[in-house]
Amino acid sequence: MKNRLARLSLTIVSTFVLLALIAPWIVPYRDQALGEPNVAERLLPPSLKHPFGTDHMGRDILSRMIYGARTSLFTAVSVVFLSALIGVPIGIAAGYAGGFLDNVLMRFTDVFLSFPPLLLALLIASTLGKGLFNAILALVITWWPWYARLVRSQALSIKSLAYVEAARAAGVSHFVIMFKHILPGCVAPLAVQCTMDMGSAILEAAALSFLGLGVQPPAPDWGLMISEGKAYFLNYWWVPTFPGVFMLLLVMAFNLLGDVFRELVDPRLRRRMLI
Amino acid sequence: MRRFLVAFLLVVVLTVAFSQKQTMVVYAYGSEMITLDPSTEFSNSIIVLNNVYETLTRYVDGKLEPLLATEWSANEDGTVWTFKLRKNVKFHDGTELTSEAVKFSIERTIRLAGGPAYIWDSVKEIETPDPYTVVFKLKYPANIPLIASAGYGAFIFSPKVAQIGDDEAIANWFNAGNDAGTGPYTITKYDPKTQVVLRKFDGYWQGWTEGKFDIAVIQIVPDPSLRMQMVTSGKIHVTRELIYDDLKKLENNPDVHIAQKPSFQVLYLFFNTKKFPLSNPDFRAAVAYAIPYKEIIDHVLLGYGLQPSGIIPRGMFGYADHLPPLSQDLEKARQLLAKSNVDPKNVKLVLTYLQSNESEKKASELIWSSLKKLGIEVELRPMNWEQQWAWARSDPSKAQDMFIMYWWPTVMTPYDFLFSMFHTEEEVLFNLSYYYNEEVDKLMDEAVQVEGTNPKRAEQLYKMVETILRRDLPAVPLYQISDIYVVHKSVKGFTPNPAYPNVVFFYELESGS
Repeated sequence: MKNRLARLSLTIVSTFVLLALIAPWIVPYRDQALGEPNVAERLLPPSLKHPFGTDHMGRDILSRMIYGARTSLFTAVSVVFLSALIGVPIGIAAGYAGGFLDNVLMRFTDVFLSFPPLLLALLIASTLGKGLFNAILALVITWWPWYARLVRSQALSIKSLAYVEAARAAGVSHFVIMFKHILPGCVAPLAVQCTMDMGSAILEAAALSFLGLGVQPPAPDWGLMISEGKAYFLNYWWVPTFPGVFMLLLVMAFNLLGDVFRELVDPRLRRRMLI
Repeated sequence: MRRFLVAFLLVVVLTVAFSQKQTMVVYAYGSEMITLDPSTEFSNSIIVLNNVYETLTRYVDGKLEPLLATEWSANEDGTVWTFKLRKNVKFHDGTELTSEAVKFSIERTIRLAGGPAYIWDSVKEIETPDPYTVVFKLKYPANIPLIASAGYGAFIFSPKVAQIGDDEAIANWFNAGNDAGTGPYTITKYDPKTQVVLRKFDGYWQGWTEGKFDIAVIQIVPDPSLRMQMVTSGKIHVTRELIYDDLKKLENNPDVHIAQKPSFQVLYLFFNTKKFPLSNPDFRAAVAYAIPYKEIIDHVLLGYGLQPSGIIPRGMFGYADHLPPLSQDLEKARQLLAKSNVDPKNVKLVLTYLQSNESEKKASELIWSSLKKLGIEVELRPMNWEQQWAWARSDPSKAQDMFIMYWWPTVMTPYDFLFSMFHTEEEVLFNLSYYYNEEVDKLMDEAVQVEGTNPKRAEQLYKMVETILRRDLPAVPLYQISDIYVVHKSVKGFTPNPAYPNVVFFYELESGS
């Protein structure tokens, strides 16, 4: 059962990644995907020519959705990668050093944890302007603390293990201990966290675009497509529905994948799975 | 809870209405009411005020009709205007309409200097030689009968309100849902966020006939789809601002009819004439000729609008019928672009529009796409009004390159458009092209002064301004929207009067069954 789910979610995720990568070569209407209006074919229902219909500017929804996958995945990967890039060193340093430095770093982290992401994004959008990069920035600012905390707790338990003590006794530098001996021990939970967060990052980025703070029209983005389509929902259901379904699928796949990873990483769960 | 309350109140109103065999008409409107002070209100609530108060004159289809004033005349140079008042007109509090009341009302409006008070800027003093004669003495010539027809800031109210206290006390009394007008209806219930209930004023001077409505309700319904459902089912009788695609569907619906007239609301595209590259006249012209005007009207408005040939909207005197409307001509645009010596590869134009406005967004996207055909890249920036206006009013050399904005007049004169958007300004307000031309200033200033006494000359001058604006192209009109109301078949007699935006004059309506 779990295996089938794992395979299914992996298939969905890799399909989306593949679609995103080869989007420029496979989408039926490339100009429309990038925003070119085609007003003669407004709000057409799904058909062979436009499998998911057209939107209020007559653009092919399928093409825009495939391009939208690029935006979503790019955002998710950047948010998660950058958050980890900031959070992991801080977490390791805090966990390994302990004491005063640990306290300082963790209180600093707490400060960032207390920012509500959407409000911060609003603030950033109004001062730095709207756009995809500022949306990513806003998400990274509120997300890295989670990585710092996760890695710190891992580092705390690893640093008292015998091989770390041995390395320290042998006079290995702190830096090398942190990144050669402790970091590898954190990779497994990090991988789980990253996978789970991919889904949430997609959702949050879409939420920002939905509110008009992220991707700007006429660029393709799922959140933006849903936001633009909501006025037409009653009479032209396909306009916001398909981007919503795509998003649901991808986010769900990432979450399932995260679950599977967690079970692989956690020995107690793994045993149950193998039986 | 609120929804429940609304439903409950509606039921109460309905039961009251039916138990007394009273007839009721409901107008569903999308936005909340703001204030009710007839002197200062400059926003949505005029849809209430115009049914409760009256003005000296009324603007109907390009002409002035008598309302509280029966006739008027001017001295030779248009600096003294004399109005004869209608007799036997009663305010809702029983006081009779006299010249003192007119003087009191307009003087209070001027004194409070609120939103629309500027329309009376030309007035030096108001005299009342007898109870039915009002004389306006002016600082400079102005078209007072036209100004007196304005849908904002020109209401006449009972001088009895002075007994309430100072101006602030009076304003509070108004805003609590009280009124002191001469109009056909009086406010019986005022809840600015959900509903305003008006009841007929039995002593109305035009009298009441069978078929006119006893009760008129303004129901606030923000969702356009819901408004559409309500009007087709007959739950409400009049509404407006539906989604254009929905309107198209309603055209074949036998239960409703669509009443429309060209409004005076025009969408303009302003070019930043103080910033490269749009400071270059040839480049500006290239952009102006690349815009797909027809496509914008066909697909943004679905045909519910027209393209005026100049800045002044069609249907208003001074309309630039001597100029052909601009049209898309990519060949000409390319030539102009070459002539301008601006390399499109090196420029990126920022266009801001109102985030919440679907039509502005669509129009912007069509402009984005047509300028791409010239190789000009446009960056679209949806913003909220305060943000985009503040940006436009900052340093022009750093402001947005293009700005999209609707304009609609307070007083039905071309000057309202030309002065606001193209007259030299000390501080940037609405001249968002930063267009400063002494000749244009002089022509329009002269035009407005002779408007009342020598309309022919005024018209000629306005047309000269239009010709210069066409040559310089500081801004282009994209379209003039139609004023569209959807009316349920049970209500007859409705004609839109675009000079009073969003206003339904309930007194004109009659039940049709």
